[in-house]
Amino acid sequence: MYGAIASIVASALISLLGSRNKGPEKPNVPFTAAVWSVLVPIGLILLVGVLTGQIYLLPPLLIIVALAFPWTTTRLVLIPLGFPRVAYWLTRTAEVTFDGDLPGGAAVAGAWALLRQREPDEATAGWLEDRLRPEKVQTLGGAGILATGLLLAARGDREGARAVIRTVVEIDARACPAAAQRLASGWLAADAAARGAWSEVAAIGVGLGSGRQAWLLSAVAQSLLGEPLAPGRLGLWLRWAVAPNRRGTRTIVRRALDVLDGVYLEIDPPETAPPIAAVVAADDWSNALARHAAVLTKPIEAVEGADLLALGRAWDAILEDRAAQRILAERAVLLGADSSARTLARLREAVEEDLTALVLAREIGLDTLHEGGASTTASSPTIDRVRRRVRDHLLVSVESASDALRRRIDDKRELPAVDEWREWTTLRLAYEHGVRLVGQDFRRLAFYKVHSDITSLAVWLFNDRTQRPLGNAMFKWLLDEATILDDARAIALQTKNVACGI
Amino acid sequence: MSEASPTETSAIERIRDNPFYVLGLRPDATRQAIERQGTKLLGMLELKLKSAAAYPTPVGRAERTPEKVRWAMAELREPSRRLDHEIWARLDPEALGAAKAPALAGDEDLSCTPPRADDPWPDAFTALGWRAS
Repeated sequence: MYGAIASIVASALISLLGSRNKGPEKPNVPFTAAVWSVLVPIGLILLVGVLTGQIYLLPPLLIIVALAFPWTTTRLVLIPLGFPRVAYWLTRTAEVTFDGDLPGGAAVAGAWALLRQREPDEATAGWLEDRLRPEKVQTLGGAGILATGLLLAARGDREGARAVIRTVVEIDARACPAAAQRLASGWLAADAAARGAWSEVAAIGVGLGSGRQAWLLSAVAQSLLGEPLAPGRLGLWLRWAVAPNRRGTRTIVRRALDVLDGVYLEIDPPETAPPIAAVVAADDWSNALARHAAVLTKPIEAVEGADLLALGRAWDAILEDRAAQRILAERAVLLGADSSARTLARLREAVEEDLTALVLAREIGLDTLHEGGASTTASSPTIDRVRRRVRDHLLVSVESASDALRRRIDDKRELPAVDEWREWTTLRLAYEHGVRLVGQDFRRLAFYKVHSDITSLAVWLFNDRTQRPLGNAMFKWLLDEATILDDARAIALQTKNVACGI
Repeated sequence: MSEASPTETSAIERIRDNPFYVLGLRPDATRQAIERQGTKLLGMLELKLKSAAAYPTPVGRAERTPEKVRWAMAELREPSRRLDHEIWARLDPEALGAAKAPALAGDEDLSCTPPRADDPWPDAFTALGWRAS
């Protein structure tokens, strides 16, 4: 008996101390092997005892069941009950489920249990963060990144959580357990469904490999969007039957079935706000101001590039008009104001700031701020200046983030791996936001700045800091960008870097 | 209506808090008219008269307070600042109609739209086990 206990304790120590990302080809399951070879036979004997009426044997039997099936127990019992610390420690033994990133998997269990608390406990959140930032260097894998995102969600930062969790799939499979990938897909699908982004939901769960939850939601999304290849009634019920949380998902499956039954006859495009052109103004000033007020009071999601283009033209009629400037100068003299030119400059500044803020908030692509699309040049000087402001703003935000990163690398100021990843995610989001709004020109300008800085970070993480999965993911992203830009030197460098593996 | 971002809010405030709208005057108002109207409004607000508690603007109705009235009077005494405000106050406060007003509490939009198949699913996190019900 003492030998069995000693064997289990030794296995647990080996498991805890040796839980680095070894990859699937090197299974690292000493604790699980010990449990199944020693405790499970003891458990079978205890089961016989319990069946013969010796109820006092039930507690040790339940402990053995929990140790034999740690992730199942955590997922079905500890997470729904909201016990983050117990969930964390039990999942530290789930070597099979989270092989490749066991500490990260344990943090996922803890963070998920924390999310299930009505009021997430801040002290426990801090404790879990400490587990993700250990004093001893520990390789961060996909599960650790997922746990970071779930902790952000528990603290109410859903956008931050989304940005981090989206990157889980980019970690090499050898350092990202399949369970973490499935859970990440499930969370992202739930998040997109909550926002009504059904096209995203449909794309996230394309196959069963993305997890049963995301797979079901993808089918639901396809039905809601009326896609011709959406699964039929049987397909929907089948996915519902195999997916978890059947009681909770019944509502949305019924909505999808209603679409198939024709309850929602037609999916119309969202109602657009009343056209601003309806504002009839007596003069250019009133016209510009009326349009300005109308755009500002429109729901942000209803503001279109055409609205801004029309508004820009309305302001051109004043800001570029000598007669309007003369009227303003006369009024300045009458009032005794120092200079109408300064007033006009302040007006121009305010108008351009408002338009720039609208473009950024609504994420309107600059190519839509042309009459007739990107093929023609903008004929509005105001809009031209707004375009330059937007491009400069986006470029400056990428460059300053990249510069800060470069300075830190030069100074060898290390951050915990989790925070390195978050900093990289922030820089990358700013870059991708710029590309989305400005287009290929921005990509070309920004890439040459970020390429060297991110390469330095990735090399530092890869060579000196045992964070090879993170470095590898960055090399892959750089390679993709270099390929889009057809940059032969960057392609050659990053191909070589990616080939180093993890 | 979706929540306005901070930048939008400041842009809207530029119009909503324009001193001419706060005082219920047009940009061609004389200095005496401004002083007279300001004093009158302060008196009405002191007496808590409902008719003085709010004012129309092109971006919706806004709340009028004694602090706002005093600030508006001070802004219009300075010629350069008055010229700035005159530009933004050129639009008739009722030009876009009160329908666009999101400003005051109790003005919630009670109109209902029929449900759509692709409406968001706000309970997704709870239903899928990511959050407590």
